[in-house]
Amino acid sequence: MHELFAGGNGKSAEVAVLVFLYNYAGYIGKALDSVAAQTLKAMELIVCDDCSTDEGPDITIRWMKAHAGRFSRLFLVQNAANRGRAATRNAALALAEAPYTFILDADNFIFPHCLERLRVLLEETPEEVAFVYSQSLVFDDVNRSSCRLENLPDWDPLCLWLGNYIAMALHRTSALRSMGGYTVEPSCDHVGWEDYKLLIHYALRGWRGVKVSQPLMAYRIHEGSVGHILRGEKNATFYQALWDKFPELYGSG
Amino acid sequence: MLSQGLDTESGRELLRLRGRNILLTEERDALRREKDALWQEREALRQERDALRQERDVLRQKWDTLWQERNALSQERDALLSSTSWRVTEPFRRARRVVKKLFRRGIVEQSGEKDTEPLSKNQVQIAEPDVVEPPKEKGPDVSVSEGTGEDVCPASRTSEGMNGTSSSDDTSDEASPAKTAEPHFRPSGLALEALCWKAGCSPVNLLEGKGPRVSVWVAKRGNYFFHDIARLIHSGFQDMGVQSRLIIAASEEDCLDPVNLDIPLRIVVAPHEFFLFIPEAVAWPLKGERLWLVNPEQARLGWFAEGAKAKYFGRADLILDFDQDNVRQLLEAGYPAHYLPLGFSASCADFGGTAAIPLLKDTEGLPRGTREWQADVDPLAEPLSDRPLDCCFFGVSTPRRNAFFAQNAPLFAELNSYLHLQDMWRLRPLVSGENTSLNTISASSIVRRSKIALNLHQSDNLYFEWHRLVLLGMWQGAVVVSEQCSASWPLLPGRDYISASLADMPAVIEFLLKSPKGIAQAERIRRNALETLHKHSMGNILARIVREHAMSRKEVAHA
Repeated sequence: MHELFAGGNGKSAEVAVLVFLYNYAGYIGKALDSVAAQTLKAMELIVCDDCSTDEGPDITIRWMKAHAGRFSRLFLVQNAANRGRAATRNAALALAEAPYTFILDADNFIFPHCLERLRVLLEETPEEVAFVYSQSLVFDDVNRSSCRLENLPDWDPLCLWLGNYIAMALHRTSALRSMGGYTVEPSCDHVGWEDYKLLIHYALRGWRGVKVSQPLMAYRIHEGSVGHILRGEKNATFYQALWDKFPELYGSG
Repeated sequence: MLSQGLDTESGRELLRLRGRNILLTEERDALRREKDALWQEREALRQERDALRQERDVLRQKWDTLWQERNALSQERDALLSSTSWRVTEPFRRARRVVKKLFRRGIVEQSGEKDTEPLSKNQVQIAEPDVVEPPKEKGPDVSVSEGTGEDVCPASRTSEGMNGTSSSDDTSDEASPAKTAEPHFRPSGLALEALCWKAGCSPVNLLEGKGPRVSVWVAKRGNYFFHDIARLIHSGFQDMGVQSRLIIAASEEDCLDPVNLDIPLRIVVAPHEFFLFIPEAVAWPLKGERLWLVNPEQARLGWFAEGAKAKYFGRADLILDFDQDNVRQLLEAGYPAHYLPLGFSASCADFGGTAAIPLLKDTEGLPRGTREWQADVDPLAEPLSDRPLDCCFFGVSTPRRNAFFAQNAPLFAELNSYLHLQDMWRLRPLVSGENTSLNTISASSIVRRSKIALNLHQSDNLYFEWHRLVLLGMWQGAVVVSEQCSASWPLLPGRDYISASLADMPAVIEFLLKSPKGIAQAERIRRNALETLHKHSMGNILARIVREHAMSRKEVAHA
């Protein structure tokens, strides 16, 4: 992994925003703008590029140069080789110093009050709460009529049986690290397994999440988005494999 | 990557899964067949049970009639034997018997005259039964309207004179299967007054007397907000000074508990749920008790058809409905109906909203400052702008509402909002602690801390959602911003709540929260709303309905 950009105002950060970038040159600008527009002041931003073949890293460098003073710390790092989402996020997590970490994919964005409100809530909740999430705007640039408010269920490990329903959340950095970050399994990367498995690990270890009944995030649906892939034909096989892997939570498949 | 992983394990895994799928499909089909057979058997048993019930009811009815007849005759006999005239005329009767005997022995035999004993006028009066027989003639066909002035409840009309019957006839229509579908109503209001006038008596309020006079019933497994409405009606009667009993029934046994059965007025809230969960209650014995139904559902959702089909409409003495259009439909269909707006009741503590928001799954996502914000007993005590939440909404998630919140997500993300959208896949009765952690106290406490309470319709229907607009809105001192609603006396748009189209609503919300003029308007409107609610309290509303519909002629006869 090598560093493409480093900067920042040097102040301490309350929240680290980790952005996974892979061939999202068309979306990364909006995602980063939404982070810069946060009402929360003390933030660090770490973008980890998984060897994109498009202009994503160049766009990010230009953007970072223009916004360096906005963040406590600012990094763009790049894997030496394409390693997948889980490993890339873990690499970014290793750089984070803030007590709370928000995981943002480069194709999504967050509304201006998102991090401030989630941070306040996570500070107030008991220690067993590992993460907080909110309702999401699900949008599609092509088909605008399919926009909807995704009223995610409250945290319930049993709901995970139906599939992963939490894509973006603010985590306690310590909770993420205590589990060794995301599970890296090359055979099941690129389809959103890492988020799902993270939640299952949380459930198995007694951690839980809390939902905010307000839309603070926006999730983009497009050809390459995780949700889109998960809705594909591989779905049943994916879940079967997952149930077999976690019999403690789901019983035998 | 996943497909690559599968390729390496080759088709074996796929074949295993496919095989498993076939086995499961076969198993599912077998279970379905078994279920269908059991279903048919259940239907047959149900029919048999219904037939037996009908037979039982017929026998019960006959038994009751004969028993009443016997009692009437006994009373008549006793009255006759203990009367002064009977005792005074005893020597004459004896003398007449002697004379008769003499006649029979010879003198009268020749004339062939029959033994015809003329009755005195007094005897004729005594011979009349003590129990008032149901008048079989068709009663006066009168529709009464109290007018449509602002302070007079509109649509307070009744369909009367279908069959003027006394309360002793309650089960008579069940005696004859051919009559069960026929609505079977008592005279009330002006018609009752007319009948009483003709009979030379005056109507008596059934709710006057010792002990509980009203029982308010609701299904235990029903939606928690129907429990709220039942509690409110129960409180309204208590405010009137009428002893009421709230019964949250779980089974037929609860319905047959003798302690509750002889209360003169039986009110069932949300009958579409009540008779669904306790189907046996459709044939609930009514021996003089009145049955009123309270409909909190929109007619288009099927309750109307269901009520007519399941025949519980036909047994009701009165159907109370929150929607004036529903009332009109019911009246047109020949059912006695009355408009029931929901009003304020100080004794209904659940809607106080002052308690701190309890820490539940659905409320844990609120900041502590909001949850623990101290609310005054008087919802108008503090300015609206002091409240920590900007706006809130409670309702089922529908495509229409979803589209609105999605379109305006940036606004609701900016505001301190609380949007409780119940998922459609959980669309079954909302039971607190089961499929929702919210309850009345927590929901009203959230609204009590909100400046604006939003109301969006499920669909294009303009139904006035009383529970959301009034109980979880105006009552809590929030200013209600709603889509256009059907007319709902006594509340008026512009005076008691703000009516706006979906397109205009975001601007209205911002105006009310951010502009000094809007803030002042919001203050004024929420005060108006509370004033209207206090003026038309639940007790007053119920008293008006009771005056017209809970009068009895039979009790006059007994008195």
